[in-house]
Amino acid sequence: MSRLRVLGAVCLLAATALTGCGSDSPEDELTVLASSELVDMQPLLDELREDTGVRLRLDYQGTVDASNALVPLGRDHHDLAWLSTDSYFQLKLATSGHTGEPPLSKHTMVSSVAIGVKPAIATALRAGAVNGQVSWADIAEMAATGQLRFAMADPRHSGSGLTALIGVATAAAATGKPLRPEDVTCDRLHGLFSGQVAADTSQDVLEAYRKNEGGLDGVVNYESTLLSLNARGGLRTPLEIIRPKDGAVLSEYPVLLLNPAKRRAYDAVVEWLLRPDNQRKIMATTFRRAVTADVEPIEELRVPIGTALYFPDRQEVVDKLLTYYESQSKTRDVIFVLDYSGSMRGASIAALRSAFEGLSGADTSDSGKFARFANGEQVTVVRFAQGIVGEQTVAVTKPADLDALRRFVAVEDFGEGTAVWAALERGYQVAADHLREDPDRVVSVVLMTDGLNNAGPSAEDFLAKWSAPDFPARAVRTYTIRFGEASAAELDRVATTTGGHMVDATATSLSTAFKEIRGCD
Amino acid sequence: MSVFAVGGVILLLVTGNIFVPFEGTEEIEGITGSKGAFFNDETVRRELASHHIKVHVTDVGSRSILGHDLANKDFAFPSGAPAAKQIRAKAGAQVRDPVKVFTSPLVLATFREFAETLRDRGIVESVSGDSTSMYYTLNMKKFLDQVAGGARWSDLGIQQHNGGQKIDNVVVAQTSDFCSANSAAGYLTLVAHDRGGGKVPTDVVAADKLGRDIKGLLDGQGRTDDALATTYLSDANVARTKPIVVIYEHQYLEHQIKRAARPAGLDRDRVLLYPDIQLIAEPEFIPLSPKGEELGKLLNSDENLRVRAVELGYQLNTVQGDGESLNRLLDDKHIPAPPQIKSTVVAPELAELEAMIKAVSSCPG
Repeated sequence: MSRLRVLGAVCLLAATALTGCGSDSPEDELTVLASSELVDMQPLLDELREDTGVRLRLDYQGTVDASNALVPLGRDHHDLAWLSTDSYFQLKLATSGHTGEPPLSKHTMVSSVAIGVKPAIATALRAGAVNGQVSWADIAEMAATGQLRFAMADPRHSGSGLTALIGVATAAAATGKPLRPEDVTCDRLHGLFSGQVAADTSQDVLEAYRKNEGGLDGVVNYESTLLSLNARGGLRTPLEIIRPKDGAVLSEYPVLLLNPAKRRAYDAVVEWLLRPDNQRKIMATTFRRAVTADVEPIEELRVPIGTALYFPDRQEVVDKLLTYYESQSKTRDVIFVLDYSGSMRGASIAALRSAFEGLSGADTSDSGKFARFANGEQVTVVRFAQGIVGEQTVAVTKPADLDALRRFVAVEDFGEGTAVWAALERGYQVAADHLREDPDRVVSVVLMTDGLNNAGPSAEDFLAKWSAPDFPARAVRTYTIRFGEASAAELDRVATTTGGHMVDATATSLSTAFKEIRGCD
Repeated sequence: MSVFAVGGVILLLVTGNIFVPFEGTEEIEGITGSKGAFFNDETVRRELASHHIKVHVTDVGSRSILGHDLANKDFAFPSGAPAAKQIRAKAGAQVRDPVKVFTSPLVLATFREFAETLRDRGIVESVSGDSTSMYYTLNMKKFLDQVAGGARWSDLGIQQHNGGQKIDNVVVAQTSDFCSANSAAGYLTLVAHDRGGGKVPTDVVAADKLGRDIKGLLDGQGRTDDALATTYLSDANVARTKPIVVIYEHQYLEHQIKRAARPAGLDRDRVLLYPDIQLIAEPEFIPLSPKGEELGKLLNSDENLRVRAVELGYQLNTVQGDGESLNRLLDDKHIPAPPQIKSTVVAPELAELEAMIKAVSSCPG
């Protein structure tokens, strides 16, 4: 028996043939469309080749770009795909109407998205967090106030960017469930992304950070690449890795068989990757976690990652999220058209003041941290009663800018009459002026009233004017907040017609309504 | 060189060629659900090799087998009866004598802190009566009431068992894909049985309606994962991202049997919840060629393979009682015996099951 073993082993080595001695000719090279960070597997691929006789030739691409290239199936001619996650690919495949056999797919290792920050930032984040447990809301708040600038890959191209985006959007929605289309609201993510410096892929992000360590405070990327970045040395200050308490979207690095004729080589590759000794090597080399049992995690990975933030099960949700993301890089410009008629005296103006204080940073709930005014944003307040009674525009670059805005909102100067629709027209004129200055910004109007329109044009009159093609800034959406006695039907109709929607503050509170409605598309 | 030689031997063992590397090995091609793992077990491979057989399987999920071309396959091995019935119908005359070798109940696998949180709320009971049991019985009705109410783990008090940490995800049992996995269809049956008032629907219209009623109890889990058991048994921090997963008992017991042989002993962190009404999965080996038939006979008769099946946590399908060999083995290894099965759910007919699956999930094709 032992003779046979040695003989078999030697023969296998000599032939480096996968299927054993004297059988089929070796399939010794597989082309692989691979996520860009898998460049770190290169040292192990030589061993894989020695052991299995299969050489993998990796072509690197961002995971989302790769997923787009793979659908419809058959267009791409690689033998395998090896992606950080195949969730986006599988959703696209299902949506494309593919009904044939899906490619075989096998998880090979796991990582999840985290944020690496300089030690001082980590300390500040923990100090501001409940029980020192940092959430994405805490990170969003620091970013919105300009204290945290981080590099993160573009979710339209990269798996790390996409999973990070899904993670923060899920955390921001705070439903404890996968994202639904109605949960995807950009206002919650704007603050966070005001601190983002984007790069195309995970690899580019690391490069960006290495080159500009002085100008950046952190990196959002896979736990594995952050640990590698630290381990490789070369950073002036090693990053502290924070795994936000909201949980994580897992990336499980599936290998997919695209060319069924290469099945045997695929099996050999998968089998090799999943052998416990190789899982250990992968973990030690790349800091990705093992997917097989019986592999004790290395020191750096004996850290909880929380529960799952789910990858949505509908492509619609992901696409919507990506569309919202695109608007994040543009300047946001919000025009608040606010009712200062007599009925706003007393409790109502107090509620309005408190709502603006909340948006300026006083609201320390998670939703408040996500929705607050962010650096780089421009905010206009138009006060109205029978006519326009005041107007102020503030470009937010520092906390003091928000003080000026809060003071302006707090002034108790009320007028008679309520000309809601004339005021909204004025809002659109302001929007048009702002767009003339900078056509690339994202402008929206938020209209709040607590009474019935009793002066100037009616809602019908307004909509009639609005429907003319030359109405100024016609593409800008209006979001309405109903308070007090205001007509829900009219506010809803106008908002919906312009592409926005209404929130009823009588059902909740002004603060909640303002948080909900910070429209930005 | 010696290192390479060792590597080579391992590879040979794994590919099953060790005993007869150069002559007469029959290659048998199978398409399976999760039970394909049986043929990838090293001991099983070696035993089959001694019979000059090498089995190559493709695990596509039991319910997906149907969508694949069966003409060039020697056998299909779905994990449960409903898929088996469909496959037999599709393959028609190609089918030879099916073999039911072993069984395993469907379980909800979790970690201690989640089980104890449910125990505080009277949703599960510890089989040993204290907080060290490996097994808990699950009151399905109470559990589904929590799922239906959108309870979060924090609402149930996970903090008490989790070092003060809140977990704001809603309580849900995560399954594999309803479109492809027998285990997911099995869990759907259990949920349907409970929400249907202790019975499963007997006509398609009722099944469709019930399916739509219970959809919300099943679909709050995002993209499903077809490697649930593997994930559950790997890195505990990764596994905990999914607090409750629907798997088969044998997958858990295989893990504990392995652990029993180690110095560290049994895994007291991972525990099972047994629904008060159970569903026993009966994998069915369906030969589709003479070679497949030969293998089926071997599975039924080869003592070594049967012993190995028990070591892999399966209950043997025998006349004198399914669990007997397994319980003996567990006893030998000082592993507590799983709770006795009190009652099992009567599975719905195929048409009704399909109607419910269609109502809860959008399957392609």
